[in-house]
Amino acid sequence: MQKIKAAVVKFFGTNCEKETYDALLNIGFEPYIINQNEENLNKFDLIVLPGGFSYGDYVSCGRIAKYTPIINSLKNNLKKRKIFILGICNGFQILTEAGLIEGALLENTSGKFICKDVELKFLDKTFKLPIAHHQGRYYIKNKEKLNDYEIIKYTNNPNGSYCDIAGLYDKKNYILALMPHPERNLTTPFKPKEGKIIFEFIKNTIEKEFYGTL
Amino acid sequence: MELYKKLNIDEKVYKSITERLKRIPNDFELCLFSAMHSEHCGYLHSKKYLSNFYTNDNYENENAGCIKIKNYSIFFKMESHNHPCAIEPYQGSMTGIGGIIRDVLSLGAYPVCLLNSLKFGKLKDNKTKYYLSEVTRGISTYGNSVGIPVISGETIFDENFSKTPIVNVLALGIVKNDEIKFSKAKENSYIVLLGSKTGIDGLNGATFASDVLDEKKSSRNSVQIGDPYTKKRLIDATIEINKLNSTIACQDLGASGILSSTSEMCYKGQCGAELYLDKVHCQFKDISPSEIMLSETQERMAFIIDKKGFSDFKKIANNYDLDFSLIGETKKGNSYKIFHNDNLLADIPLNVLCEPYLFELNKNNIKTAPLKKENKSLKERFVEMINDENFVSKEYIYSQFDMEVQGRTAFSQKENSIGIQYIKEIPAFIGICTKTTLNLEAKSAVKNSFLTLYRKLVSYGFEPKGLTNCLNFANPEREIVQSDFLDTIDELKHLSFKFKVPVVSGNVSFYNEFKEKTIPPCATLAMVGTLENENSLIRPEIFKNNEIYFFGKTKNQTNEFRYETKLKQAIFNLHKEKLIASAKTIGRYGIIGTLLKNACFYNIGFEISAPKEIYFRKYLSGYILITENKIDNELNKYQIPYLYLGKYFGDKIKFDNLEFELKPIKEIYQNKLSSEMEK
Repeated sequence: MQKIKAAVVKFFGTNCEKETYDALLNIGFEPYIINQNEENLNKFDLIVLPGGFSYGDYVSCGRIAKYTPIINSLKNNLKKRKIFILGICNGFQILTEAGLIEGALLENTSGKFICKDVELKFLDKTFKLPIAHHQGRYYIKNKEKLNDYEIIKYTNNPNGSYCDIAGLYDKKNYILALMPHPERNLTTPFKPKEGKIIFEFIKNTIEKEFYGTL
Repeated sequence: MELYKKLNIDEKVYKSITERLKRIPNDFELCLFSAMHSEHCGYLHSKKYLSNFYTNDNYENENAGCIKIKNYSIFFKMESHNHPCAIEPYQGSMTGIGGIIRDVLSLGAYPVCLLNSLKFGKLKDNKTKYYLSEVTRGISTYGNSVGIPVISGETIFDENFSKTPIVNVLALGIVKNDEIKFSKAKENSYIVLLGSKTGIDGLNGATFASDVLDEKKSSRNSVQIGDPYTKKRLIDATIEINKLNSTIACQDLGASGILSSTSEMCYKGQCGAELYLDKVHCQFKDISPSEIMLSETQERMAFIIDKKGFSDFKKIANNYDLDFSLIGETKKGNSYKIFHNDNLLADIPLNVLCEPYLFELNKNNIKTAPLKKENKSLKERFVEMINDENFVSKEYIYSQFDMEVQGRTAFSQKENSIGIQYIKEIPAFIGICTKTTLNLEAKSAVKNSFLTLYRKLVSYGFEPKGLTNCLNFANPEREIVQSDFLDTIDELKHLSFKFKVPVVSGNVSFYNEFKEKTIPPCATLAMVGTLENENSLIRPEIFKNNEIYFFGKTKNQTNEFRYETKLKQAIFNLHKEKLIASAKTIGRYGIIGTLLKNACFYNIGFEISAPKEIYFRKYLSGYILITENKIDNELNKYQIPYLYLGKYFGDKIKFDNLEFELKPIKEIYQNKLSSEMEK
């Protein structure tokens, strides 16, 4: 089968696009880096909104990025066809701002940026990934809406997130959003390779549910 | 009072200006001289003594120096931002990071990591808490946002820095050898300014940093304001612009902004310049010509662009949504001419502007003396150590820094005080660490820091390759400061020649004093090592039942080059033969300090026995070896003294008939700093 084409979106202020690109390449995707003005997403099955500080996170994290052409185009694509969206860290924040994932991300209870490895649970698997954020405390008003999601949980909540939520997967719409950085534990020597769990899950899902090949 | 006096220009400096200019400078020109001939820009008290270091390149006049590996150059430099941080620690530390990033960036190097060395007063002082939390927040806000990981650092709490915190930051960048961009202009080209609009923040920052701190004179306006979002775009755009053939030279706008960047590029390129200040893109209309020249508004770069290639430059600037302006042209000759609305405001020969009067320093017998040792029992020392804010984990600080963005970090300061990155472009590993030794006389302090860094790199399998430094001192007019400073320089030169570790760059910060309270000699060193083969890296981990040896001489820092290199080779061999699991160096808390830090980090107790007097002896000239099995037979081959110390196991710390539970010590070690900060 042909490699799955994946786009990594570099907004002004995004700073994790290169290692995210490397991670996708490592897992066997055919990755591209595109910018916020790209509207034609037809060739891509996966769109990744990577980590960083889009538009300096001025006003609020992800607030300005949601008004870019690419987010508009993403919404249109979602209505028309199967497309997988992955939001990592700032990407998670953009997705909540854009209304593509329920809830919001607030300042950590410590009031400080936190960079450390955390243990996570997702689909019966336990693994470690690094977090690096200042606004990663998940909050949701209408708790029932969480029933639509598979939850990625912290085993030891670092930031005060509601229900230990580190990430959410909307399996109906194929949108996965998480605060930890899977791309950082994958291609660097001496680092654990557990970022694989997230990227391989995405690859398998696309192959199975978009192409029925698995 | 005459204007030059008001502008803080020294009598001798002024005399040298008028003599060489053969006239009295006008008021506008005097403002320019006051900045260019300030200590901060002109290195008036140090420049005479900063040549003839051991180096391996010809980049002495560039913003940063480098070491080479394969077809790449690794540029790095350290800089102080002490004065701004004393007044406005948040913006001060942000713009310190911003400035040092631009130094490597202007050479075309992509910044891949940061390091910092911070010194504050004691933690019980509320002012220290304020400085610590704001400086950390500043570095965190800026470094995290521009996407450059802070991979290593040190923090020292010492009464001497209670009024004058020391904030030294380092940036390291990589560039292909054939893509290095120098800062030499060529005549008949455009002078272009890229980035933020010029405003009045950081006005007179250079002169402010060239004087002792004073409550009345200190102005928050002299502190620059950082904008990491614009910086991120500026970094990406500058990397692209510097790859253009039409880009002749590049220089960042730091101290004395447009003035120093444009004049230095032209002077280095032996050409003149005409600047048209009304063309500069500014934050507001009624900004004065001298404000435009001296503003230290952040996130700006200056370029010398071939006239034919200007459209390529414009395209990149527009792609990144960055402002720019064509502010002048380089000319044949030596004249630096400044126009504003067609009025000629200044016409100065560049050699006069860029070559300030330099002061002589004298060696004398007044020197900083080493701190006296106190006699204490082993138990007293142990208890004192575990409660010492200098000993405990600095997680409170480093967890606020993104240590892993860019995905290159193999090991960060989490594991130890060294940062290790995998640079896949080369491909190679780089290791980087920093050390400041206090409480010794100046020469021994430098020697101690140098050897500690050398061994630290070796203990991870790295070949030490290059050194940078930030020399922080009090007022250079003081006799004691002159002696200490000259001793520091002498020792640095001596060691770098001896060990063939080039001093690639450096920075001097004088006037670190407040109301007669001076800082002690404070030479921050940072060393970089490289390693090409993944298998040569010695990992830091410790496991249960590992054996512990001390390998080397049980005296304080020796200065025998042959002995140190023999030790290094022995460590590399032992690793190659898979005989050691890891190697550790010994710092200011002796063998016990090193072993205990690792015990806390890996959560394993230890039991050792050794001669009483060496448990806490500082900076021993050797390594702690952690091994899976006993290796006495193998160690015997090296004709280097060694001691079998004991074992890592269990949940207790045992030595010399003393016994402590690890758990409560670990609690203090991990939580002391954050709980003190939250008090």
